[in-house]
Amino acid sequence: MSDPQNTVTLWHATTSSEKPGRIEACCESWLDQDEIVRADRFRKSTSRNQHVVGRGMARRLLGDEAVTPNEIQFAHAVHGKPYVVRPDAAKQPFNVAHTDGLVMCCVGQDRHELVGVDVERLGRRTDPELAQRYFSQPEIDFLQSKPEGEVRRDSFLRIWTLKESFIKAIGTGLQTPLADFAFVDIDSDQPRIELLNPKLQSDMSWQFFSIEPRQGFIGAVAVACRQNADEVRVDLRSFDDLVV
Amino acid sequence: MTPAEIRVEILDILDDISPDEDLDNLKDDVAFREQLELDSMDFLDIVMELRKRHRVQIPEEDYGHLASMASTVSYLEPKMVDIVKS
Repeated sequence: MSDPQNTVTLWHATTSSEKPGRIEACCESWLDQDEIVRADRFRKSTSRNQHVVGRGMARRLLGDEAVTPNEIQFAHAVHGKPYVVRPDAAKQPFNVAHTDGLVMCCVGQDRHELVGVDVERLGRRTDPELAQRYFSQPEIDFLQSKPEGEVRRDSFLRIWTLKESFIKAIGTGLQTPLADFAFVDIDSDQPRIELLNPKLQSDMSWQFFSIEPRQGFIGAVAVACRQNADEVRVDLRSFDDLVV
Repeated sequence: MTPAEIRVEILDILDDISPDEDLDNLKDDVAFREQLELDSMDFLDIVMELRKRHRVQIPEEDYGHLASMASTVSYLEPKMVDIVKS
């Protein structure tokens, strides 16, 4: 049986593209005033809903039953990655990702130093030049080995979500050049990363998971542990069921 | 280009990348990603479009300057001052 302390939980929630629904209402009740002000800046309902559900999910899930969602206080690192300031029971590594109609929140355990998550809807319009300009050469070669059309586009999104999960985990966003690291075994469920820039190397070991959380979506999870960490397991769960 | 012309150019690129977005009354001092449905891929599309249209090169370490309309125009002004708006 797998060790719960090695399990990263990946929660997925449905969001409305128009009028807020039950999940949005529930999540909004957990937000503080600043978060609601930020949510109200979005001009489209779909963006507002994703923001509300993303932050609401984190509040509900961090600390689990031991913490009231409203009592959690967040701060943001230099490039904007949020983390928990208090209470201590909620200080778990987490990361949120959203795309049209779906929000995901990844929650790690104490032994996980960093987690990152990204998700995209399959079929999203992509610019082939983006890979040429920003991906590493092994990834460009991998894409060019795929037949043009849907298969290549989906492979692009698979690499993109993996790359995003890494830069979101380390918290630098796009200021880390995407060609400074490369994924190999991309078609597997657990691709591996090669850190091409020595500045990215550290005493942490990385594990990655390529996941289709729901039909029509592709996502990736990044988990960093101190060296010699055991194999991490990702447990996929529906947040919708939690707020029924 | 003048700052006003750069602003119009950025709005034109945003309109191409996110045609469903209502760009009227965009708040120049608020981050794009806090008011528009733009993600990282859209952001790189903007950078690539600036390169294609005007040969403006923006290194990754400068991406933080492109957070809002106001900071983007300030950053681009010296790079685009010699470009004549077509």
